[in-house]
Amino acid sequence: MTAVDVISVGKNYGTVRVLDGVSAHFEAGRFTSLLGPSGSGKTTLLRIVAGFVIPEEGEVRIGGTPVTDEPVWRRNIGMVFQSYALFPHMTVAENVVFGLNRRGVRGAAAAREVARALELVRLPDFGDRKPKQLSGGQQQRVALARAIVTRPRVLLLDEPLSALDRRLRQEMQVELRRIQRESGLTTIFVTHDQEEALTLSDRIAILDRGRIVQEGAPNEIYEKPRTRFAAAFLGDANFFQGRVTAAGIDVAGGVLRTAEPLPGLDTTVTVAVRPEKITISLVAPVEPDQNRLAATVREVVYAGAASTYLITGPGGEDLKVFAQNRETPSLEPNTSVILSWSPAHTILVET
Amino acid sequence: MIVGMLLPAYAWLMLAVFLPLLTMLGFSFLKVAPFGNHPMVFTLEHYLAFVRRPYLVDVAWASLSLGFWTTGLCAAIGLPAALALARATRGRVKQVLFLLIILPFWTNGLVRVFSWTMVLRDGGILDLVIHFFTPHAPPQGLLYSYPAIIIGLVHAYLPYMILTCYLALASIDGALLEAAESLGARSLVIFWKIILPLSLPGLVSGSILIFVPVIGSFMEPRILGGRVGVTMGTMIEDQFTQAFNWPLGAALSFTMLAVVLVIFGVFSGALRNRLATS
Amino acid sequence: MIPLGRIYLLVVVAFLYLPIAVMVAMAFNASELYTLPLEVSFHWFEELAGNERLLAAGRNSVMVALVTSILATSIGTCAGLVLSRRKFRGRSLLQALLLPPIAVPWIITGTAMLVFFFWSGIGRGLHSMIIGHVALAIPYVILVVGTGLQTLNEELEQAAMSLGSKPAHAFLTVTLPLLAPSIVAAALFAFAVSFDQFVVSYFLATPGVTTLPVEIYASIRKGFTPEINAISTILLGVSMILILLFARLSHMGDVSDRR
Repeated sequence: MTAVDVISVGKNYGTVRVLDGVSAHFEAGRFTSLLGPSGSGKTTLLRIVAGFVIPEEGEVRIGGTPVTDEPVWRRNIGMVFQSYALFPHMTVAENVVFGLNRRGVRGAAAAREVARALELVRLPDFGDRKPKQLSGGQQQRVALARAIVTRPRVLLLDEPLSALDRRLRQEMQVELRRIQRESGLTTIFVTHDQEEALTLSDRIAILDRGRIVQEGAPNEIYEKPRTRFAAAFLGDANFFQGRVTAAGIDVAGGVLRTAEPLPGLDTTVTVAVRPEKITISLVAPVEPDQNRLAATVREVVYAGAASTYLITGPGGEDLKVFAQNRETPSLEPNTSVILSWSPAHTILVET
Repeated sequence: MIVGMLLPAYAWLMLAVFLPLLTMLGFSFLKVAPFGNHPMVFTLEHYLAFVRRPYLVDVAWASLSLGFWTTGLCAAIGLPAALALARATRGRVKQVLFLLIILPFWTNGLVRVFSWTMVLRDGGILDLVIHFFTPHAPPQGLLYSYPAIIIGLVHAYLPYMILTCYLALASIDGALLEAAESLGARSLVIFWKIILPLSLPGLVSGSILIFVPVIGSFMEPRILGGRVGVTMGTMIEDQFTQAFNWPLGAALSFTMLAVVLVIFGVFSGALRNRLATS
Repeated sequence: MIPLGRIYLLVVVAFLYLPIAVMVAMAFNASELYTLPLEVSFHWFEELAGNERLLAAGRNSVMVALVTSILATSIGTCAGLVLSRRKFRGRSLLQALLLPPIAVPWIITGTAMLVFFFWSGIGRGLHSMIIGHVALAIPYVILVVGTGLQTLNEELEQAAMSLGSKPAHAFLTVTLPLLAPSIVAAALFAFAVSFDQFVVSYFLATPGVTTLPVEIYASIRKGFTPEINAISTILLGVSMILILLFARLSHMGDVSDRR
């Protein structure tokens, strides 16, 4: 199992600084997602690790050895492309055996490896088919088999699930995770879909405009986003802005307390609160140390098991509260309600 | 590596196209072709030929008028055909018709022109048909006349126009027309206000593709026009094969080339503006 | 409206094929004149077999077209590969330079070649025709190969490289097999361009060394013989077959991986 390191990588395309001083450590045997909107540089970073793009500054190390000067075909990587890139004029078996042949493995030994890989992706009898005879999900699995059969040091995936429909996507996410665990490959996965990143990853690195904004385990990043961007991109967030006072943060409609230390008095800060951490009630709750604000319901989006409440805060903020429908208070638009949540769930974020 | 791959092609073009054109440009400024013992004397007299020999102006005018007639007829016949192909046919039929229309265009131009002589000459098909209806009429030979040249040219270049118009029309989103219908526009209005303007790039590019070769044609005028078929093309050809006045031929060629370039310049500019605003 | 459109189309198609049909019919007609009934006969084709001038011209045409096709396809494919795939400064200029051979009226290009070849000592003849035809065919080859290349997924070569292929190997095992139909199509096209070429061949021909179209032209000027019908029919048939093959090959989209 090999770790991958990216050290102070910088890349320009013309006048655009696509990657700016990006450093990251991809743990051996772990599934790390590069998450970000389009243009954030995540695909470029992946391609730099693969060797298709040469960075202007910085270094890439695979297993501790610098590979920045090594061409793609010597890096011993496995890559799954967004378009799958299966060779249309070869059969599935010929596709999968391609990398093995390049490494000098041929004949019966190669055939065994191919069979093993196809078993792993659950397509055991598909060897003689041509790519155009396969469905999208099947092509994807063949692409995966092809990438891992050579036992590469690292597996790189470039938004491989984005072309699949929702149900197939969810199935493939489970498959992908299983295959990665069984093979133990260090995996770097690029996606713009935050749900996908949360489901699949051991670690997530969020990118925004060429910089890594935050990195960590999914629940770490979700519960403790460090910037406004990270909070809004991964999941939903409610934001409040106010001045620091001795009692807490002075926002429109009340004073908020946090569980973290606050910066100096009179500083303007922004806090984020996740929608599922807020309780809605018609009367003020009994617990004394909850944060409390009065607000008005704008819209209720009913979804069976749960509902999303779109709420206007006391300072005019656009708020969202997410609650399971256990006891449904009948909340019509324009009802006044009290929002309450724990200070522990009030997160300081940089703007 | 890149240079190595490109070199053969461009070197070849240099040798076979660009150098010859440059040489001919040089020749056009000489008094007499510099073969044998003739010295190189530079002069503008061949470019002034239009002034000195007024009949050249008539010939030039004849060529231009051939160009206009042919282009106009191709547009008038071709646009409706392209329209019919794009909107009145579907699937297999469309593919087959498309291929049928394009096919003659890629076969030997000379043979196609020649085939018209079979139809148009005295005793030809046209004659037969006319006699079928009016047995006592005198023999009709359309051959060796101006209209014959036009027919031959239109026949040769019509597929160009149909092709370019079809490409422009085929790219019109069907949803656009449905939207217009839902807003209450009737067929004629849709045609006039939506289809025609959007097919304009096709008409323009087809016109350029037709006008340019036509004004330089000499094959059709000679074969179908006989003595009547005198155009810039035949004049230039004469200079090189009969009169052996190469400098004059060269000058005439480049004058025509200048006209061609002007046309390209004007129309591609207009085309770009059109495409920018549409 | 629609039936009207279809009828009109058929009329146009009839117009396009009328003279051709007449000519072909006359080639198989026993009589020289248009008298009915038509009597099918291969008489004119037999006469053709004895016409050494036309046959020699035919052999020349085929030979020139073959050589042209081979040369133009090789040279054009190399150039097309680079022009399509790599971005580099001056690319637009180079692409623009491909226009003159096609856009400049052939009479100008043909006479210019005559002037230059005569003056430079290259002279006229089959070799100069080959030089000229290849120059005319190259832009078309580049266009056909370039288009074929564009429909190929670039990530295919990258996938091969990620699996351990050096770039040359990736090209040979992945790109080239998928590009093959386009290359063959381009070769056919180049052959057709040369085989049907009249104007440039006309100026570069010498008495006794001509190609078929030039010889047909000379025959027409001298006076009509029905053998011209026969040879023209053959010529037409060959062209049509070539173009139909080309159409099939360049439309074989299910072999190449499309994005």
